[in-house]
Amino acid sequence: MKELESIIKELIENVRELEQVIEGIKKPVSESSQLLPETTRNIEDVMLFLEQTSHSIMNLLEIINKNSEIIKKDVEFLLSLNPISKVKQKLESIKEKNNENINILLELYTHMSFHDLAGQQLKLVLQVLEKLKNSLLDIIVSQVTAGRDLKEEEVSGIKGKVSELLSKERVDQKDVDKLLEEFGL
Amino acid sequence: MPSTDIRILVVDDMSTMRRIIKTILNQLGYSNIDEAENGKQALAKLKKERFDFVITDWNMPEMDGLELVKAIRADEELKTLPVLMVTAEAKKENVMEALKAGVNNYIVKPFTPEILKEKMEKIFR
Repeated sequence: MKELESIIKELIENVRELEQVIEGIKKPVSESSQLLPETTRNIEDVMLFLEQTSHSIMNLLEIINKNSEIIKKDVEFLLSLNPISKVKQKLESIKEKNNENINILLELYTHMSFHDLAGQQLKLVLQVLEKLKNSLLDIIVSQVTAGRDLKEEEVSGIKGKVSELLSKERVDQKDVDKLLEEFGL
Repeated sequence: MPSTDIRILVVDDMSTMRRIIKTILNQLGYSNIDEAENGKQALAKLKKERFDFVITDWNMPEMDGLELVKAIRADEELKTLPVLMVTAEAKKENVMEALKAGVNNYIVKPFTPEILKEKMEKIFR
């Protein structure tokens, strides 16, 4: 009888421990399966927005540049008509300022490469997120498989399931519970 | 400066960067310009059409700029083609690696039209 009591006590202890393991896994899987894809999507949105805005700005710069080229030609035409000194002076000044503007426009254009530089940094952030996902995957799998005598195929199966869950756009608690059920938890 | 008739291939995965380089080249008088999004696409174009000069980025998907340069230098038909690398990779070891792979010159982003002009002059002198 005493022996049975000790076995039952031990069993209850095991169930409690298992419950803690389940609770410990549920939260990170549930949170990460939402946060990681969401963050990745947000960064991809930022990259797209940056690209679209950069093109819009460059379109506007091109229009200004074309207008400046027209002004340049018109001023040159007016100067070729040999205007009186005062008008000529003003036209020369317009020509000079217009050339200055054209150079500034080109400089602005080259500064648009910030999009490329920012994009490369964001790509690095995406790579870090992917690494985080894999580390989390390893932690979860090692927690699930700890102390269990599982075959290699079973471990890789669990890994695949968790990875699938972490890559999904959105998962709810049901998905997490279903997954844990598949692990026998 | 090289003749403004030369055919230039601009290779970059970022559309804005291709546009910037094209605009600067236009300002410098070059209008015979084609584009590719990565090394793989560039290599296919280079094998199909004649180009006189390649301006390439380093970090690109599928085939990066360094692999492209190596592929160009390994190709009997293309090995003498001048290549300029325009990249954000500014470490000394990056520059050394690119030079070892066979680039003719190296520009760090962001760059000015003057820098591009100066590098092109050096390559084609």
